[in-house]
Amino acid sequence: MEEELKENLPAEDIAMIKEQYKELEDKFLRLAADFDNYRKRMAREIEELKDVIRIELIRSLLPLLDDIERAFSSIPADRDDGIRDGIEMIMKNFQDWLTSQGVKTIEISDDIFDPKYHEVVVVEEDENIDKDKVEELRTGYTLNDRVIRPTMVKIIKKVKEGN
Amino acid sequence: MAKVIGIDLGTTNSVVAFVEGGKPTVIPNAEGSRLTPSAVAFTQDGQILVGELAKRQAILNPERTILSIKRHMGTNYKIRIDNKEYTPQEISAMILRKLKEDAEAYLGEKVEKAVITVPAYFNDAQRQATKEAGVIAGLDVMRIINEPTASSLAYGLDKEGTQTILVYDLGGGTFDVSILEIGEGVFEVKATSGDTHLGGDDYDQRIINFLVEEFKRKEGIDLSQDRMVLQRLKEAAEKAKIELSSLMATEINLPFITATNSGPKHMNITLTRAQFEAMTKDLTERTREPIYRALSDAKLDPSRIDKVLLVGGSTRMPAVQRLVKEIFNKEPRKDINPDECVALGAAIQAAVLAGEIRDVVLLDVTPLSLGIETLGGVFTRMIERNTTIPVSKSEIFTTAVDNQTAVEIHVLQGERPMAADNLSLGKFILDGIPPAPRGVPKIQVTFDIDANGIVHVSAKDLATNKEQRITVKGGTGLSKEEIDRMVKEAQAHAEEDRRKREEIEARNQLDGLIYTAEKLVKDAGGKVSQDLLDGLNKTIEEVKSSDKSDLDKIKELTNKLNDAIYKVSTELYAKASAQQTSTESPPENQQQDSNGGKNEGTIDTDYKVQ
Repeated sequence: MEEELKENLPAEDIAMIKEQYKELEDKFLRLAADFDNYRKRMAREIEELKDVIRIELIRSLLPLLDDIERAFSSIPADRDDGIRDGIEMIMKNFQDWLTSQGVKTIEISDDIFDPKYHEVVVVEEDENIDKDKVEELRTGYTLNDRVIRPTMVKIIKKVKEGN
Repeated sequence: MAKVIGIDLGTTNSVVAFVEGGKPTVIPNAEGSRLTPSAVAFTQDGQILVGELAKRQAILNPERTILSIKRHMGTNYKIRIDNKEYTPQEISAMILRKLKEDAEAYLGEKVEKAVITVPAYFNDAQRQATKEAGVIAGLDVMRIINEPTASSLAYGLDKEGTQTILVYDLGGGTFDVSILEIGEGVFEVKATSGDTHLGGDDYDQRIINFLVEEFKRKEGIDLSQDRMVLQRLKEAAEKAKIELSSLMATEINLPFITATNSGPKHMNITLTRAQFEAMTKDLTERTREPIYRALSDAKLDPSRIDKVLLVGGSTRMPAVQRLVKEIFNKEPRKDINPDECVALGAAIQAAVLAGEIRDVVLLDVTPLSLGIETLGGVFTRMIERNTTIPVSKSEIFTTAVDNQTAVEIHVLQGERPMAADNLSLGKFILDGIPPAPRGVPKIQVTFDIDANGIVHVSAKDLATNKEQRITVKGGTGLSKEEIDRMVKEAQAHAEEDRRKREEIEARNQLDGLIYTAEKLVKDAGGKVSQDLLDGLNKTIEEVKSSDKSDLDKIKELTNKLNDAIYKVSTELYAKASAQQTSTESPPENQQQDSNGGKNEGTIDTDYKVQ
């Protein structure tokens, strides 16, 4: 090929063709690399997407569990006609289903507020406590270490007397 | 080469995007979200939180949480935390650094260069401060561009010749109007206007107020003092607002919202779109005046605006779209996600500056589907519309009648299921097929569209390797209007076409079944009782002579013929198993035949015998 070109074409044309060849090769390699990266990232994203879709679905179902929990806690504890037990069973079935999906409840340990898992909606002050307290207002959940929704908390801040 | 990114550094939220294969894409943050709140917090224990995490602790730590820092860019405003002073650019840099790091984690490579957007009204000091923020975050800021310019780039308006456009940007907390003149790739800002404290959050608040008042009116209870309840109302309000962009009414059901001595109380309020629009009319109307102010500053009449772009999440509201349409008397552009538009445009600008766009091979697509005509005038698609070219695709077809020695390949394009309704591109004949029963020959049809859009179609008989081909030049050379018309027509006729096609497919199936039945009569001769065969023959004749004009009738005939075939084949099976040892089992053959009408995998093509 090279020999043939030398015979029939002036040197500047050969230089131009070489230049164009380089340019095209570069374009091709870039596109091939872009595509390869794209494919890899898609594979990774599809994996993540499975979690994302489940998280979205579970997140949209959680308000129903919140409502069941509210219903349950509004029934007086001394009521014994079976309604309270029934609601409790529905609640438990829901929670068991969440567990079977790999959903974990976010726990608050040692009254430590962690913005990665908790969201403050109420702040109160109190003189009569030893240290700040973190109270759960609405349960938060995670799936594979991703926060489905943070726990909504109330923080009771310790204030010094006379402050 | 490291990737370059585009950043929309917003007042409430920020977005980062990059270009890949010539197309801009938003990069999700570490929390998996495409929007990152423009919030920064300094915790008591010395940590710096950015984005969602900063927002989650905001009310605990209000004096150490910074929201909307963008409002202070380019001023001498300082934030004092633990005896250290921070400039607005230092705070902005923290947001930019998170976006940069999250992008690096997502892309799996270093990011060094970026284009950052600013409002068109930003002065030199504000632009300089934004650039400094980028530098502090470790970014080489290739350029600071205007948000409306970025939106125009996202819509590709720079490639459409000289025109005047208006960008209507209603975000979470700010409203901006900009008028730009675009020509020869140059963007000139003619006027800007807006309202620095108007956005989607105001609309949410109206719904919350409405819910609180309604509940007070019905139940006599004031919910506005309970933070936890307000949180529930806020979530419900935002959900209702979003739903009302597509629905005419939504129900807000919040059971056990509160309790009194008499028991639990529930909220059950229906909100119609009309009600929502009435209670927020003044908010939407507040955008009108800035539009007229910008128009008058630019000395333009609304009719002189060639295009209006809707940007910002709040422009999804129908009332907003109506207002814009009413003023300009034209449909605004809103097809790009309004939350992401600015970042996408910034990414395009970044890629252009980095020379990436030039290197991208621009790929074209086929505007209409391509295929061939098959049995009964059906259009069988080979290449779907919007397929990226160059592309090539093969499929195996077969003959429709016994001893067919030639097939006609009729190449068409269009979206209708029947060949006659589509555009014919050409025909050719492949002959010399060795005589064989229908369904036996294998004819490979290959469509190949090269990078120039030229369509090559070939048909090859796999038994003889005999091949014929046709080249359609400019086959896809229809104007945009013609293509749109064809696509629209296909949508308009979808139902009627589907019925027509179903009918033809049913008729094809019945024809196949008649063929099978006739073959069965021949094969089963002497093996089953003559009565049964006579019965089958009679049914065949009856089916053949019947009127096959409507689908129900065809289905009925198909069932009838099937029953007659089953009777014969059942007896054939019974006889065969009785003398199992003596012969090769013919039923296998029969079974195949009785399925013949379905023609597993192969499609008869309407090849006429020459």
